[in-house]
Amino acid sequence: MLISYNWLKKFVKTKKSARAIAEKLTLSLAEIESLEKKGQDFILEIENKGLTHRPDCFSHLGIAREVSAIFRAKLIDPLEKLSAKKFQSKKKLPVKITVLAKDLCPRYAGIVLANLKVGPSPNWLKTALERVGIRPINNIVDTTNYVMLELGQPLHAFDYEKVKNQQIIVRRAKKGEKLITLDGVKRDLGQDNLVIADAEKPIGLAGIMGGANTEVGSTTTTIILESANFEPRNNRITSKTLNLRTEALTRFEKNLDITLPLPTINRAIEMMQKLAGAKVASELVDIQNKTFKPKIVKVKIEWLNKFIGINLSKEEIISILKYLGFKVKSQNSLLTIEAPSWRQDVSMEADIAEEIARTYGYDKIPATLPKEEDKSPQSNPDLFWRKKAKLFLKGVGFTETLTPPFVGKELLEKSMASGEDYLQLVNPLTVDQEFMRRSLIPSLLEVGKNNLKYFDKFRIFEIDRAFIPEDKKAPSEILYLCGIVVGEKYLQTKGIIEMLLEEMGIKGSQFEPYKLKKTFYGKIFHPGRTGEIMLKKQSLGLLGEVNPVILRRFGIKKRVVIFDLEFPQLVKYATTAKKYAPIPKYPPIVEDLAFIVPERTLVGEMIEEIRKVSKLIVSVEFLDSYKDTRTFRLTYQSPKRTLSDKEVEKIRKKIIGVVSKKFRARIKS
Amino acid sequence: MDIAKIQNLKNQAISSILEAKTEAELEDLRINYLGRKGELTQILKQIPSLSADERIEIGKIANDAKKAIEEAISRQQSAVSIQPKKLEKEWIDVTAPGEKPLTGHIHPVTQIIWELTEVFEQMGYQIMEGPEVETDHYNFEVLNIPKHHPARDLQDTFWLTNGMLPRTHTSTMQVRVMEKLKPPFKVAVPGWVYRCEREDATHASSFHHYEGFAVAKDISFSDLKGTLYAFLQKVLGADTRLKFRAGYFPYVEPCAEISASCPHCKGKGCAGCGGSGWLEILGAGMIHPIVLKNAKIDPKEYSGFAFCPGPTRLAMIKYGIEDIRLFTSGDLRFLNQF
Repeated sequence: MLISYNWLKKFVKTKKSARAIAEKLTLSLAEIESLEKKGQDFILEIENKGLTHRPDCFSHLGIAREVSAIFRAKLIDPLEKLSAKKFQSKKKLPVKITVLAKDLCPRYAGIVLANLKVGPSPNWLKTALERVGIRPINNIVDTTNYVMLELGQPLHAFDYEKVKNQQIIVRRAKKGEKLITLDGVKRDLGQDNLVIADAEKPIGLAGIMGGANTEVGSTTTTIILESANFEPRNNRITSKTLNLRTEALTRFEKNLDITLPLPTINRAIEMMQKLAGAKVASELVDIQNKTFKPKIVKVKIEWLNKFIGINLSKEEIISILKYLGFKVKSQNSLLTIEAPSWRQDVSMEADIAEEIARTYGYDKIPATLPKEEDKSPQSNPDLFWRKKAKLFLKGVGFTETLTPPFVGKELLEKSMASGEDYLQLVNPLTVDQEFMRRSLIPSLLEVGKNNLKYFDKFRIFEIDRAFIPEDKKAPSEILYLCGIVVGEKYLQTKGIIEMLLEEMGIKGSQFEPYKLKKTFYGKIFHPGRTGEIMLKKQSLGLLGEVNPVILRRFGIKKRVVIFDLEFPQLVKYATTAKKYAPIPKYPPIVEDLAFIVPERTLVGEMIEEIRKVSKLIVSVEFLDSYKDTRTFRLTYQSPKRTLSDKEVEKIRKKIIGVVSKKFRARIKS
Repeated sequence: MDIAKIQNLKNQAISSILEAKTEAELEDLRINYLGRKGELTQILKQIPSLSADERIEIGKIANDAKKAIEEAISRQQSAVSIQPKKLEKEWIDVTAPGEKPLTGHIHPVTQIIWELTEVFEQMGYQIMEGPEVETDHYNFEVLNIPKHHPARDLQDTFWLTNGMLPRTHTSTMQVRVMEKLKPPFKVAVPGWVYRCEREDATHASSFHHYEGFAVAKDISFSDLKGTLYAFLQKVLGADTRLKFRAGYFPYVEPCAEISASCPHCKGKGCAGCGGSGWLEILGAGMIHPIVLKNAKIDPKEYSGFAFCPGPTRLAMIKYGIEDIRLFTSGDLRFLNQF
């Protein structure tokens, strides 16, 4: 919103410069985003967001009141005088105003003005409006805008001649009713929309915009002037459903002062008399369905000072509050504070604390630290292991990505993952962000594809959440460690994952050939090159090459290895515990054994079987694989004695027996 | 058998060894004295034939001599092998680029989150996490943002077809934590947040927040100020100055917007801070009594504060990143710089 410095000074006696005012308003009210000299004036632009709770500040009077409190300068408040104003009408034109939707219209004031000469506004008015960004139209519309910018209350004028039967009815729209608003757009209305109607049709969207059918134009001579209060929630719903925001709505939706319609209509009448020769042609109708009941807040001085961390005297506190328009009574240290009608946002002690703190100045409040608790915070094992895993992966050449959880249909189809049930956005920004992912893999394939333009070899990982919809409850959010490796062999990546598991203290896991299931995973992984990482009969995740079919869909021409581990599963088994084993005193015996095996014999299983043969086998190393021969290096060692050839021979025989039987293999001499 | 002869032999051997210049010379000497037919070896061979007394005495001396000669050879070996001339031949070009092991990179936002975590933990905060897909209840209602309230416009929200939403802030955890922990407590919550905002260089629809909040008896606004000084001076540098101004978030009262002196120019004004010397850094305030009440905490007994630095924004400031979209791009040309 734009505020004129000259206009402001009509309501507050101050010699402070526009810059000084802008600086202080920024600190105590809301950010002044810009300050611009225009002619002999300065225009301050206030950030609206900071005034979401302050409809009173969408006016020069409201801002002037803030300035008066900040600088303890005198406020020239016209409201009381304006409210007391009475107008005599010689001529009486009929008008009937009825409020049917009483809940949505707490107050409606209206009056008929006749003898108008509609024409351009005088220059001072045009300039005043233009400087704060409002386009002048004619003296009637300009007056309503001027009064709104001055006092904060939106007004509206209907062309009296065009109002059927001179009836104003405030009611909910009927289903199927339509209204062409002043912007020329035809609006379909319904029960939820409050309208101003005449005897047969809507003539305005209450609190938002008037209708074209009763628009004031150059031929208009008589108007019905409206100054009303509308229920903010309904106003917002109408604005949202019709996608229409206006200056009027900006104020109404924030819960306007219910006492404001009277002084503002009087102000407008006064101006129209001067500027357009208006003659009052009816009684002032003022329907009040709700009366203003001031909110009372009781606050103790000690509490205020303690809560803010300052030490202000009672007098100082009362002074600040009075400048802001509060009425204050005090009994010892207890203040009984009555909030003015324009400050419906103030209803409790903390609100009063904010008024004092910001007006006194946040910069003057001392900085202290909360008293130390003798409670030390619990550590978070999830975060500990996540950091450990990330640092490990960084150490072995992985780069971390953070990709958003939103994915589109195209990406899911490319990944052959579109058949699943996804959380879906109602209002995605783009089509490629319509769903929330249930796996990180498609996102990382996309990242991989993009990076292939610049790199031919890389390792990337991410630890982030996937979202699985659940019936009638919150979705499961599962943390995955997902990685993509381009330009390397499966076993290299497997080695890294094995090292990671070791780093996390996870022992006893095994890789098993993955039996493809009818899920998304079944399609994305290579059927012959995918392993499932098992621990205690539970799956920790998968490590495999991506199915060439999927790679082709992504346009990736290299082999890609992916791993996808359920991170909470890893954390479940992770430990920092380590058990020291004494360094062996007796020498080991090392020998190599080679077996000739049938096709597709699993080396992992062979190692496992060999290990199980004797406790004296301390390691089984896979040396190499050549055609149908698998060679292992065995280390025999006892912690208690030097092993004899005889002992080793016995074990060796047993190994050969087991392996031959189990794998239909034979020893190669 | 003559003891003096053995001693002479030893001395002679050692002095010859010390004069040896090459490994070959040393090897000749070794063979000469200690080889199968070596002079000392001959003596040692005779020992078994000596009388018992002599055997002990001469045996000891001869063995000592053998040991001394061996040691001398081994010492001289290192001397002759590390000759300057030889080392000169082993010259390498130390200016050639080092052979680096493959290393990776941690995402800049993660790095900032870790830094903040460290500061939070030093200050006694417990780090917790919460759901990213939230209910209207925890994201808005309990935070004093009723349905159809204009404050809902402050955060453009994505909505899900199931009626839930990807959280718009980590403040969702305020009431969740208050329902779980008994005050006093200090908690910090890092994580993704989502806004339905058109993306450009300074706006992203997915980014990170790291909310800190504390509830205890007698917590004051000045405690919030002190906490923010301590916190931001640890994060941005000890000479960081702060500016507090009024603001509006419905879940805090009083509410403050905090700017920090630019860490690059120290407040003088530079390209990074748009010339103003100041950077808007976070929003903060005293937890609204309605929020405490919604979590069944009596605002008469307890008070609290909350503040929320944005790791994404801090990363932009710290590393001078101009386009927020780079963070989620997955582009290695960007990520590999960190």
